[in-house]
Amino acid sequence: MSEPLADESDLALIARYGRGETRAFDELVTRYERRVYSVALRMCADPEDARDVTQDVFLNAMRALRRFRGDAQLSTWFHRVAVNASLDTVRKRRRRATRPLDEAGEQPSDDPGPEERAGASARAAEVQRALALISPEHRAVLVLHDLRQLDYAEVAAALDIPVGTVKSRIHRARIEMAGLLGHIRDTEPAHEADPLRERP
Amino acid sequence: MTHHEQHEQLSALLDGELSHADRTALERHVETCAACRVTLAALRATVAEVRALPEPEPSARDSWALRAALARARASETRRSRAVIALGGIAAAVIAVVAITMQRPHPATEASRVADAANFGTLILIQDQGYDAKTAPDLLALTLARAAPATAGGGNTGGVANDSSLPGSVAGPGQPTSPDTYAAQISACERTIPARDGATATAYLVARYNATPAFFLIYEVAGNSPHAELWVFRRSDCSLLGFFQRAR
Repeated sequence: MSEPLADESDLALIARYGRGETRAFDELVTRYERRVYSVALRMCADPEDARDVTQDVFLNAMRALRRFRGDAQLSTWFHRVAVNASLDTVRKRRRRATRPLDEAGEQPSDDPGPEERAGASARAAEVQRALALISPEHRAVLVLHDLRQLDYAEVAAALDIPVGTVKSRIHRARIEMAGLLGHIRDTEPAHEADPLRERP
Repeated sequence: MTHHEQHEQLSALLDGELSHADRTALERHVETCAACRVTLAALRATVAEVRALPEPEPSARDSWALRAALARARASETRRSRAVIALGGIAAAVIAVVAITMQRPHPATEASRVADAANFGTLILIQDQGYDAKTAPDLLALTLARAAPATAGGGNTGGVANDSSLPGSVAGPGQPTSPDTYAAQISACERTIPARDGATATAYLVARYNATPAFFLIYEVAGNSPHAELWVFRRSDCSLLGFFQRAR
């Protein structure tokens, strides 16, 4: 027996929630939990932080969605709140050393793990580590565009920045990642006048 | 366009974010510029590796912790609302409206549910007893201690309802309600639990948790790490009051 709420649109669920149907909100949680967690984990590079950020986002949503006007997409709203909450956490805990994640976003366990986890998995772990090394602002545009598949306009809406800024940030973020991952050894002087690193 | 500007356009080219005219011009440039081709290749490789990262998934524990946090926040909002009402000077009509909107609609009784109720009847145990975070996990220990599913008792009564090893066992005299009454409500709470393979309901207990009327749903979960789970729901609205796990 399928839950009828699963077929409702986001806006219909928000409208129901506004009228006091708490189950409608529960359905939205089910619908967006994974997306929010995914952004939080790739942004924070720490599963506990990601869990806390996810909770904060939905606690926020519990209040905010009662007044949601539907003038923006709900997914844009969740992405914005998830990135902002993640940025807050990252900035607050910048000094705390975070242990690197393996490619599944898990804390690597002490045991070696199954043999097939060599090769491709090790590389993915390096990619995740590189992502955790670039600036949070660069990480945000890459997470939203390359991982969450938002286009430039959607990224701009989520981060409340101009599209032109999205474009230049994505490019710089990728150049930085390319350097960390070994796809660009040295930048040729004719190409890149700006310093690559933009750490505040 | 200076060379530097074109460089930034390369990412936009990869992402399909250039106008048709700009894209054509840039593609033409790239054909003649080795340096841009190198950069483009590096960007492509980088994007591919980032996109290849698997999508992280919250653990079941994270999910329940989230729902528990939301339930607690909702409960404290409810208490605040009720406190406002208790201050008096509010019309009875307003109170009635608030009470209605805070209730969860109960699922309608259908023919199939009557059958379910019969099955539930074997698993539902009613106690007047109270549990808390310290004593609730004992239910799991008892669950795991039972070596085999309840076949020994024979027929529908199973091993649970008459299991005198459980503290405060069963419906004695003066117990007004039958298990069937709770079946639909327990069903509603059970539907809020994330689906999971290999989980078998062991018992449904109607009792109190921290003095709040609650349902205790106990499962045995098979698989790589077999364990027992206890989900505690507030009877009135299926909000999650507690969750406990215990490995074999």
